[in-house]
Amino acid sequence: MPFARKVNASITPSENSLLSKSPLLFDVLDKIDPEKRYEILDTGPASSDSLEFLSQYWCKIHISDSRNSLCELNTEKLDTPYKLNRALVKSLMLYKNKKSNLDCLFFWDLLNYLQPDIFPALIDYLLTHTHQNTVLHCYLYTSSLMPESPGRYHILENKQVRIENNSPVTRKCPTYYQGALNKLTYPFKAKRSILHSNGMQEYLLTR
Amino acid sequence: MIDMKQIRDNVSNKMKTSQQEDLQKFNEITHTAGHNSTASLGSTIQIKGDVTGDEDLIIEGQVEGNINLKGHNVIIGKNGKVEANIEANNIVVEGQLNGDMNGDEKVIIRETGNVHGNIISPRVTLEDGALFKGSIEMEPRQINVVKKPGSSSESLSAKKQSA
Repeated sequence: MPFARKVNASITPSENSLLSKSPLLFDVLDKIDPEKRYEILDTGPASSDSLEFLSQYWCKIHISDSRNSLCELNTEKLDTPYKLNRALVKSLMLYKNKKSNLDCLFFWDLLNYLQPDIFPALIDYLLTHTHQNTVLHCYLYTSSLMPESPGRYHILENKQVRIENNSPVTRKCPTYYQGALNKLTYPFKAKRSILHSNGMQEYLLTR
Repeated sequence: MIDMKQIRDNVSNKMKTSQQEDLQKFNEITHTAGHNSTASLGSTIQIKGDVTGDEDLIIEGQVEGNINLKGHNVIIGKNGKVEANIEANNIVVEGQLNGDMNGDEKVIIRETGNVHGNIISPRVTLEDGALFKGSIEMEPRQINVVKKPGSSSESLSAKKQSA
């Protein structure tokens, strides 16, 4: 188990994965009402570990596997709100005529890679499919460099998250302090945050 | 409308070793269902239209339309390319599927499977490496996850299945 020893290590390009405690995520999951159907949007790729964990709940999971396509969006090419909306629909597959009522959004490290001018359109699009109590969970890198592309996140049974990233190179990391984050994700704003020893800041945002 | 018996007759001679292996695997998966009759669509067969019938089906070719085999089982082999909504008892995907699955008993996506669609089924199994984009409706403890040997939660999964 070579990666188990890397719990407190930073993510570097040479590493494939590490384990991380994720108290804010498990705080959300622990509070799921077993009597109520819970709807989750996971923007990452399908993870057998995460499905295994979430199978203990009565829930519907939308797995959009859309982070790569979302990160490629830019307002130069998508120069009208209509075009941008169409691209978001194509990526996230949440349709107005099949309106979802999402309780939780798993963004993982998406916000680090998303073009800042896409944030408002993305949040605006998701508002149609959320409600007042919807929570948004994400991680932000706090160091100057981050892996070239988003990682894969697996929810494990032991209240840990396994983060996989096979990017061979790093890139400059955008810095979002809480105020800037709140502005970009409005009306979602940071309710709680924890800085992990691996250099990632875990955020829980609510409306 | 497609006559399953006719298809079966047409393709039975083309069944190759790999398909026989698939059939064997399929029978292992679905042995509890008690169906002896299985039709197979070979890799050169293309169907555009709805598929209905009263027996199990293995697809190695291409299907565009809806597949309704209520009470029976459907396996999309590694070479299979399907654009259809599927209703069946057990559904196993080893190839490509663009469509929704309604499995009365179980849906399995193998590690070679690539699915774009929604799943409604009492039990869903997703193997490591499988590609999936869509939604999964589940009741508590409906998902089974098959881990590769040595994987961290392999024993957990086995424990749940035996429970």
